[in-house]
Amino acid sequence: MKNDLCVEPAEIQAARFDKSADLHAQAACADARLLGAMAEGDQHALATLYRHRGALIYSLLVRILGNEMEAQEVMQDTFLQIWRRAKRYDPARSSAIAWMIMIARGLAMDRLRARSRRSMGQVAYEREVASLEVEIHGVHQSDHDELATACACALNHLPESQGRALQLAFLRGWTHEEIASANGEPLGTVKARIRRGLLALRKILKDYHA
Amino acid sequence: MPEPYSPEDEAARYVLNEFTDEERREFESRLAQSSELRTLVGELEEGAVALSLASSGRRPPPQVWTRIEKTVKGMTRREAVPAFWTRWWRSGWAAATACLIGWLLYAFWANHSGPPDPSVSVATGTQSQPVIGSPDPPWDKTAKVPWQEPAPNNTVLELLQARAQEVGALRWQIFELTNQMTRYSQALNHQQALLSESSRLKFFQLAPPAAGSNATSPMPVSPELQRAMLIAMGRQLGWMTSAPPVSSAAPEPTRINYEGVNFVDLRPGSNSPPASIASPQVDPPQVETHPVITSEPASVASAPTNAIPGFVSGTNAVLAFDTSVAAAHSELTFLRSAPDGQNYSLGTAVLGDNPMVVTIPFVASSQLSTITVIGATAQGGSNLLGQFSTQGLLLP
Repeated sequence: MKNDLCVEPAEIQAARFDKSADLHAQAACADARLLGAMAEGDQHALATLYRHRGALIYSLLVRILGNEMEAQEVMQDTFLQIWRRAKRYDPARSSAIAWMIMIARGLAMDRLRARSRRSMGQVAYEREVASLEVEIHGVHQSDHDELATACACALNHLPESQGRALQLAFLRGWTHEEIASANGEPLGTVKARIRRGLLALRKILKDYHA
Repeated sequence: MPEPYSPEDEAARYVLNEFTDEERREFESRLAQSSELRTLVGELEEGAVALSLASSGRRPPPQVWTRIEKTVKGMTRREAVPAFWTRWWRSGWAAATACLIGWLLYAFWANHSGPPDPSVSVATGTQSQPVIGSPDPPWDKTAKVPWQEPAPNNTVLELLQARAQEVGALRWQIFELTNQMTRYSQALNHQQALLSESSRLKFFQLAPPAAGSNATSPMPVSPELQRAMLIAMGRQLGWMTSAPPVSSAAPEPTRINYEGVNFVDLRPGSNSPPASIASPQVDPPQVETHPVITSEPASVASAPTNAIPGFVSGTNAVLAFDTSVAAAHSELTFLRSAPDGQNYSLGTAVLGDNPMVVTIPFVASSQLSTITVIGATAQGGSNLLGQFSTQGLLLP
């Protein structure tokens, strides 16, 4: 099942995306400034950053962990890590939101690894993919902004094998080798799918900012 | 067969955090040197952001932020405390606080040597120390802090509060004692200044024995003595211009005649009176200065008729004589009776026809003494002209 917004006429989508792209560009600059202020000990900056990015990171954590209670615990750990490591953020290396997402994902992966010994194989693969399908289509569309909707549309329009590999790698922490082994596919193929999937989604952001 | 190295694959593994710690360090070192690799990683990270955006739509419950805020504030306080103490130590407050703590500990120790008597004021310090001043001074109604046996459930805080009150009372007492000592010191300095002030005069009369020692009414003074006293006062106060003495051969006392008044200075080593005007010497008195020690004053032959006027100025006593108080050409002997019973001669002077003003050392020593003036006539008789104690004149 595809999202209704994904079938919106291209002209209407373009007008909506232009406005949304400006907002996200401004938000990216604001994120970097807030991290700089947090590096100086400004707790108000942390509060502002939480208001701006809390929903995004929390949604990602819920998606990864599949459990709101655990997501809330990891959410707390994530922002504490952001607070502690704000001095080490380098704007020349990555965007602020990417840096924060990587912190959140890293903590969530630690929680996933600590949860239980993960079973591998085709059965586990199918089960994980099924959970991802439910998550993808179970988000609250009413809270989405245009860019998030576009990203969701782009993810859903990826080739099925590519989308699954990408989500298993990013949201479930499966390695390239594990995915290749579970699918019985060459490792190079899986690597290429994942890389191309990330670049395809990145193109959505690039188009918005352009 | 291992796959060939691919920067794109390595970048994807880096973004997806599939590296071991060693592999990550190695890749980051390459990342720092290769702008192309950084660009590639950046693009993949943006793809990860887009993937995350596709998942958004949930909002964390409010308690999540509450916990984060509380934790961050706690972390900030813990980090701020060492920095504060570091600055505090460097700013020198450490020494001041150490002194204060030491003083408080001493006060605590001094008051904790034993359970004090409830009737003893804490403000007086320890029990072995004497009470200075009023045991319950009006300036500190809270000074009396009786000892109370602590209840079994008394906390350390209550004990510290009690000690703080005791320390406060002690501080008040020290403050008041310091003030009292300052006031006494100022009063003493003021009195000493008054005594040494030559412009401050205190008048008195030597009453003849016939008038009785308790005579309080002023005795008649001859006009010549009144005039001599006025001139002596003017000289003492510096109203009259100075002039060298007519004759001042040491060790004899200074002899000056001014306006018909003979001035004799019996102070030891005094060759330059405070003020004098030279004038034709009409009748210089004959002065003898032979300090002698006698066991008793000279015998009294007859009583004089009038009182001898005088005044005290600084450390000197000035007495005026003329024929109304002593016989003409009689020899006047000035004795100082010490408390040990010995009489010391301050000097002698012969009264001429003119009135004579004699200056004698009034406070030769810190001990109180009695000044006696005896007049001896040429016929061999002697009269006790007057006697006074320095006690009543020393204290203004």
